[in-house]
Amino acid sequence: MDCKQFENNILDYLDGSLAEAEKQRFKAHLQSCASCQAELEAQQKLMTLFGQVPQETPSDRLRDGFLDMLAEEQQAQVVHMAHKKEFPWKTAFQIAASIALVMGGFFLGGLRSGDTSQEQISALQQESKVLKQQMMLALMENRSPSKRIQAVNYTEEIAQPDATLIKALADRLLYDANSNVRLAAAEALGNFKSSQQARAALIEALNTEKDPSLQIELIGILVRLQEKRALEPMKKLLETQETPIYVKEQLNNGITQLI
Amino acid sequence: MKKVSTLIAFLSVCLMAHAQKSYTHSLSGIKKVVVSSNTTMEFKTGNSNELVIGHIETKDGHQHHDHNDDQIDERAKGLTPIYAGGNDNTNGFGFSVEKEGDVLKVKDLKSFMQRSGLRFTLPKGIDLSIDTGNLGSADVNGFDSDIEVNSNVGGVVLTNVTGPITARTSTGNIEVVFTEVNQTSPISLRSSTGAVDVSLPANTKANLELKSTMGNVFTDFDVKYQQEEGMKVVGANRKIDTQINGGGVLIKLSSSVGNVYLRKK
Repeated sequence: MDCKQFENNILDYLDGSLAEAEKQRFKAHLQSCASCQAELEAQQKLMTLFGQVPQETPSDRLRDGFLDMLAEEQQAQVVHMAHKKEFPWKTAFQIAASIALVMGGFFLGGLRSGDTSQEQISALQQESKVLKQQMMLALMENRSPSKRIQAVNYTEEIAQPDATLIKALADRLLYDANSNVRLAAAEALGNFKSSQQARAALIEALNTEKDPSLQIELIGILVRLQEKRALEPMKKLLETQETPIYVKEQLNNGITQLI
Repeated sequence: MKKVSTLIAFLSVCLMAHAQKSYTHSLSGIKKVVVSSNTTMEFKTGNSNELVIGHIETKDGHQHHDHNDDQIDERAKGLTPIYAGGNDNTNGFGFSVEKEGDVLKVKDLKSFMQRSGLRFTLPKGIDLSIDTGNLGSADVNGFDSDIEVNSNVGGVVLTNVTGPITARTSTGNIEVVFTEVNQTSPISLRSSTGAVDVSLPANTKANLELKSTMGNVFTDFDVKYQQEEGMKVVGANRKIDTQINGGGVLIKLSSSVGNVYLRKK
């Protein structure tokens, strides 16, 4: 088994769905190759992160509180039955007070433990989000353009991108040596309709991009966003002599849709 | 005595000519080879862990020679050729070969006028990044590694490959025949005015993004459309998003002016 096959088998191995013979060969290769060990570790880490965030479960305190309350309630019932004939105001107050106390404690406890577990969950979510983003940003620097496109496409899963992420995508769009990566970045930025930073990067790219097919994509995206500020670079591009005729066609088309 | 010296001179000329027929470089510790040249390039798989650069054979079995190989320039005697693009460290073969970490950068220093086709032989698992300059073209056969090709006018033909593949041409066509499709990371093939023609095994799992801004998209795969709600800006986005065999790795094919063809193999 070489490193290539190994890489293809990693996910199956982690799933446990690898056939026995394959698994043996996989392990044999793992022992002999340090870079594959690192790869496996990284994948494992990623899988764990992507795994479910733990479900919120009520704490023990909550259950204890409830059982206490139940016991009190039972006792109260018994007491109540015993003194049926004359209404015992004093006991009633005591019971009411204790019930109030237990209930109060119960709700307070529930509220507080809810708060803390909620905090823990959001902290975990935050942490996994940060880690996920870090891995994504690292992958965007990978030397394989295919991997960089993959990283750019991962951002589609993010609803609320922060400035760092948009900046990373804008860098891909403006400076990546491979135009397929630049295209993927343009499309990803086009999805973040409400981000001014993303729009600015797309307009900037229309000013600098020399690849005709990417120019066409950028025009398409900016028209879809109804971005009026794109009119100026579009007109400039239309007046540039080197712009191919088929790009000019798209420019004319786009300009009429924006005005 | 004169005869002997003539013989020695003749032999040394033969040896020089022989030295220029191919160049070999070890690939131990190398994972990726980056090649740039302006000529017709063929990439074949070989069994040894080395890079061999040679000339493309013609049909009658003879090798093409570089145009000025046969002429021995008397004036250049005792001098070495130097190039604008860098230092020739390949025994007069006209390449600059540099190792950077686990990447080997192979740069053709001669112009397309001086070349008439090169053949590169490499092990099948090595990652490739190919730049064909302005007029060069690339024909790659049998690699199961990560391949990147950037071309301007020349065509790109990739046969018996698995991906991941990133290819881009301005006017040249892109033709790719997959033996299977590596599911680890996306495949992206784009041309501005050329055609993009791809053959996949019929059972390939993939998410497809097919687009031709001004041309047509053709396929014999069973493509289902997702109808979107509401009206769209006319002509703003003509992308076809669909899945085959339940979905899988992203395969993105696009041409601005040319057609896109996706075939079952």
